[in-house]
Amino acid sequence: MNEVLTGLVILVVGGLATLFLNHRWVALVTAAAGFLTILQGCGLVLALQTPQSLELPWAVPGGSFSLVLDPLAAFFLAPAALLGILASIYAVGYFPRPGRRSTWFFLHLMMAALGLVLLARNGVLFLVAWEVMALASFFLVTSEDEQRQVRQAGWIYLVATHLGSFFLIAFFAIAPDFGQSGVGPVAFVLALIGFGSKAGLVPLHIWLPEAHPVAPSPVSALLSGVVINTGIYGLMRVLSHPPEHARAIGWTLLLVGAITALTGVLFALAQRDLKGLLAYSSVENMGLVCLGLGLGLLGQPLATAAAMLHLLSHGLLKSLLFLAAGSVLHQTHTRDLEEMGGLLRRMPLTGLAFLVGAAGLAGLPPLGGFITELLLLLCAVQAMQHNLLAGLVTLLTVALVAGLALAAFTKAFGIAFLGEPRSQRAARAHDPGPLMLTPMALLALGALGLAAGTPWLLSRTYPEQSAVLASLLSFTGLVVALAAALYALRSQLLKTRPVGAAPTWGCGYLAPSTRMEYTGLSFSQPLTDLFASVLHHRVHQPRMEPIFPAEETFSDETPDLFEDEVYRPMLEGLVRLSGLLRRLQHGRVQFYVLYVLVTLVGLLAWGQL
Amino acid sequence: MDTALVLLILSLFWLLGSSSIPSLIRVVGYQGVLLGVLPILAYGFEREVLLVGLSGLAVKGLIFPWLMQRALREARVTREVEPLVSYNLSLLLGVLVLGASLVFTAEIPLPAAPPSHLLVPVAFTAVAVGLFLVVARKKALVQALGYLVFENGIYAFGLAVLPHAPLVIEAGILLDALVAVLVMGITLFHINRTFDSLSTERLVQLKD
Repeated sequence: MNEVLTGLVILVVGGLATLFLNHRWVALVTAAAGFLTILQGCGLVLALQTPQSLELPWAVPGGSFSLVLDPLAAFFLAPAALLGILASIYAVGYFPRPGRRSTWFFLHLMMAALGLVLLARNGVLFLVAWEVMALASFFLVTSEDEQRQVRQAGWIYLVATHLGSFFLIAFFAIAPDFGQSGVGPVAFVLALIGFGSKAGLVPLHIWLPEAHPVAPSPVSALLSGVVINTGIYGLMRVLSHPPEHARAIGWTLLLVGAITALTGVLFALAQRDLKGLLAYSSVENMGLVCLGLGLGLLGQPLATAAAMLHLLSHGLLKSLLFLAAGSVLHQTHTRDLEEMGGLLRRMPLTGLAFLVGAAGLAGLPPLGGFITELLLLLCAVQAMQHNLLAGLVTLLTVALVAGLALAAFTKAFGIAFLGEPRSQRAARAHDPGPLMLTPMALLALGALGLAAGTPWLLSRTYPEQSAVLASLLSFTGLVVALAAALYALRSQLLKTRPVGAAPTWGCGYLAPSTRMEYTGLSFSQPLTDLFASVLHHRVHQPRMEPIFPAEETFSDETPDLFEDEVYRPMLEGLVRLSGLLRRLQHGRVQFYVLYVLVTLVGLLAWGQL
Repeated sequence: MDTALVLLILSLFWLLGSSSIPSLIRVVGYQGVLLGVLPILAYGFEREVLLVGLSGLAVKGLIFPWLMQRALREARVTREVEPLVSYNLSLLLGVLVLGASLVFTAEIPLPAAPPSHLLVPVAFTAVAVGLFLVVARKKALVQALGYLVFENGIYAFGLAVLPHAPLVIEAGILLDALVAVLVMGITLFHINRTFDSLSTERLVQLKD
């Protein structure tokens, strides 16, 4: 406990120090010191499995400075600290020099507030920490505020997070003890909306694909890999005591999770913005976690375990992907997939890192996504024995989501890294420096290590499933090792022989250009057309009407369904209603004061009655 | 004490019935002097009371009228008040307000009996008349004066609870008013420069 608190204080002090000494090494050293101290504290709690608590005097009405570090909090805090270190190392290489003073400060502040969120056991303290975290991440999201899109995303994020806070305040007013006892239905709905908006559950997700892509990449990595997890943490804390109506709540989480996962993966598939695709994939994965929690409440504890594992591996893999996408952005200065291409040859290490992350989240063995999706499917089959419907919903959702995620990540990797470069900048790209590569390498190794360690983690509680996993993983490990050995043999054999390189046979066409490559849109079109009823994919196609057609353009966009169909009409209605109030504003000062006078007289008269 | 309060009422009526801005400013100044003297009349020569009274007299009786005179001189506007409600009707309303205050204030619970039974009704009348001046006159300068009268009313009401309210509160009210007058002075200057007039009717153009 003391270690964690010390770490948080180091972070805050270090953040303040960077405001005055604008030096990236100051930032890095304080970040590393702070996060390592936190890790130490978390490790202690996770090893001993005993909660530690601390009460400090705090003179705020309704508030008490009570902190508890229990295994649940440590489970969220430890990966956060780990990713914090790696993202900080990456950021030293990533941020322009001289950067903004405030970026490092808000980065430190956000992580410190996140730590406090995970420790706080009092409603007021929690809300304060929550709000500091939200505001710090707002300033991080808008750190490139000279672009209009960034400012707009920032506003959307700010509104969304405050809507969430509004429901959380209501929740803490009803259930101030925060997970010490089971929640009622009203409190649960409030918590689901409040925490769900942070985790990006549909339909409260619309800020996420706006805000995460425009943030600087190390920040995106932390936002998607760590900060949104706090939403899930809140839900788990609320449900840590068996709630009333556990069945109904389980079903709610299951359905919300299923809808979120499907929506997220479908929109990920349709994105042409690389980081936007990753952000929608975060929505999808939070949906899967939520689905797992729901199934867990319906009597499948293994599903909860799978959800937790998924959270962990998603955090690692998504951070890895955002860091890799960040290096691509660093080199090509664009997030548009249609301007990349051929990057694997030019940035082999970044490409390899992205491949590991993409394979992991697409559910390919032997990585995290595969394991957790397999576990969820096992649970679904088990659940079908006594709750056919829940099992079926899970089975279908997870299967569909896994397939679509594979398509989405194939698109991301294939269009960005394979083929030929589609722009000058992509052609000139090269791997970034070691400061940016090391964190990616460590994350990739960490993801592999986590996958390899999963059977061991599960062996005590679920020996049966653990054995299945272990055999599957050792098999895929064998296959991978075999492939690597064959590749090594091939390069060994080719070393001494001449290797000629020739262009692919172009069917006799003599002047192929990069514009003839598969584009991201054309790659995903068969699937997006299939789900056109959900996606509302808008394509502006050139008409070839007259005999000699004029010059035409082709463009496409996939606006978020909920933004267009739900929030925009709601907002327009609100604006129209507010327009009625403008009649009061007619510009005559005298009448404004008259309003005051009338109110005063009215109040006096009311007092007399 | 009661004489001073009656003089205060008369000054309020004068404000309602007068048509020239310089005389309005002068009357607001006299009111300030009266209010400065009132606490001393009510509570005698005590250190705290003297402090409140003399500072009130200095600020309300001397500084405010001087600032207003200067604003008037700089704005170079006509000296007509330009009422929205006629002077006669204003006076009639003033009498009605005084009567209503006498009825209303009888039931207001106070921590202690005020030094004079007229004090609270007069204070309320001043508040109402001040607001009325803001509502019923066109010129921004007169509205500033109306605000001052309104402040005077609050100050007078404060006298009723002076022994129970800390000095800080009195000082705070006075400082508030001072800052407000300074701000109004600046605003008047800008209104005058932008619209070439102090009539608030032109401000309607600012509406978007």
